[in-house]
Amino acid sequence: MMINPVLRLELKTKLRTWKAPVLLLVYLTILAGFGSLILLATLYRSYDNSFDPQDVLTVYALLAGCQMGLIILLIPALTAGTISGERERQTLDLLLITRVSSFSIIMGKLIASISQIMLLIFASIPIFSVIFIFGGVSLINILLLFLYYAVISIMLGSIGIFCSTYFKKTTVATVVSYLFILIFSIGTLVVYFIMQEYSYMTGQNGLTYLQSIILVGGNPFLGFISIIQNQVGADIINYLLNVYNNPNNVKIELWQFNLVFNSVVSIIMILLSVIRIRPLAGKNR
Amino acid sequence: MLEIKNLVKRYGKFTAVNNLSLSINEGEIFGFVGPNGAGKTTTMKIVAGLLKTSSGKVFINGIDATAHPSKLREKIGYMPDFFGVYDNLKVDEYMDFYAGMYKIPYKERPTIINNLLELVDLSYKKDAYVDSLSRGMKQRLCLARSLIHNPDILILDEPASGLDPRARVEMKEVLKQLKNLGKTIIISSHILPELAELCTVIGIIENGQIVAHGSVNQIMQKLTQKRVIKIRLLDKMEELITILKEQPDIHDIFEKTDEVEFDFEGDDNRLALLLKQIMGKEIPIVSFYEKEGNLEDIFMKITKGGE
Repeated sequence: MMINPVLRLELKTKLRTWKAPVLLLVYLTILAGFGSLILLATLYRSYDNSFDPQDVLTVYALLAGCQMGLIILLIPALTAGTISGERERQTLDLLLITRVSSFSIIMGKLIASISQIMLLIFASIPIFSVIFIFGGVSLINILLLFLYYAVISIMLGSIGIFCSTYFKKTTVATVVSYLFILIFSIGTLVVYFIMQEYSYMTGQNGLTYLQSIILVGGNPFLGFISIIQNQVGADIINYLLNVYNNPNNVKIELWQFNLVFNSVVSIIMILLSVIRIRPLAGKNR
Repeated sequence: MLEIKNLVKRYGKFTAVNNLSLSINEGEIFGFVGPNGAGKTTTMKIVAGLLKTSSGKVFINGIDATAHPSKLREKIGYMPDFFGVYDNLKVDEYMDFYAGMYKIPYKERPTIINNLLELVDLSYKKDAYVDSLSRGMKQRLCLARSLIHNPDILILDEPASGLDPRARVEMKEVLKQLKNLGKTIIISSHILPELAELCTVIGIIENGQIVAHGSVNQIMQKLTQKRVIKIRLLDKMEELITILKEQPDIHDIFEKTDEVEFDFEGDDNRLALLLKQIMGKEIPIVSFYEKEGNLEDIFMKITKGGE
């Protein structure tokens, strides 16, 4: 079986330089440093110098949140230059005239970038394992969280690649990728609050749970909080989501909706990217 | 082998290629000549399957390349005028990557890569990083890359541009070898002499249209019915010009400080008489000779200076 040559090339050239180990070192240092700080701050209370095992869950939630933030920050930087970089380097035409399809080229680029993120995520497992010492978080919880990371990475990665195919310059593609993240994370919330307010103003009972989920379903941070609050038994965004106004008796949770939404967005973005770079398809690739 | 019929390519209001038709036979080395912006690169990109036509067709071995570009990918090797290389990649890895892109099985790759690197004289650079190579080496490597899938047709867009004289000679040597291998080659240049000895046929393009097409000799004969005579002298320029102006078969007298150049329509006898007449006036002639027509002159005559 032949490995996708684009994937092979990307992995080889990316992991060969000093940048890859430095990225790994910086990433793990930030995560471990942050983890140690909150572990110290939470586990050893200054007022009675006692240890409450329940606080381990807070450490887990904050650590997971830190990882989520790092992933979201890194992905556009890793993906937005994939195709525009080829264009800037004047190597794109040489790829497009070969027998490998545009789909394979896009997938090779996406998988290579996601692999780099996955490497960081897997390398962070030992840091998360510290939590196991204290108990309270099951392996299933961690696997679910990591699955969520993977899906979010693929979604944001496919947006980054789409921007990279659409915009000629890497800098523009990177900025627009971050704008997409802003729209997903803050834009959805703004729309949600406007709709909520509109609902109250028109004398209704506020948005229902289903409406709330549809409005903020694309928000990666809320999706993440939805997973975490279940795992640590907290109630962080239930009020925001109008969980108690559920006339349709909707059972789906925000993170589940988010996973489906992200998968659909990923597929659309990948297909648009493929169409965009296909020779003879567009006028100004 | 390759047939271009009524090809038109427009970018908005600008027409880059205007109703261009061409036919290139198997084994031919076709020199595509024209000033910058004449439409050479656009035409080549269309043939390589990288650009859509506005109208017109390209047939390769009878297959419509504009409708089925993927079917023809393995038949065409393309070397663009400008191209880059990847960082952190060695020469043999670069070749291996493109071998993968053409789905060449792993076990066949080492032999193919070694042979091609030998052809372009880069075997000794096999383990060097691609971005460390000189411009000429990169051009040769790109040529080797375009041959990785053993294509029947090679499209080379300005393969010698930006190269120093030595690198040009080396590139020419490689192209000669390819000619001997029987490949059909379309090669473009805005510098004609570079192509003259290589090409079996040339096509001169200007403003998106072919203005002359045929073998180098055919085009020369067609265009050089007039003879160009050059005289270098030490003094008495005015007297010489007066004599020349009196001759009915002399036109377009072009005067420099110590040189005169003119078009002459007469035969050798008339030329001998002219020289005798000049010598009779004791004009100090240093040299009197017929200028050989070269491709560059043809090019300048045919094209109206689109650069």
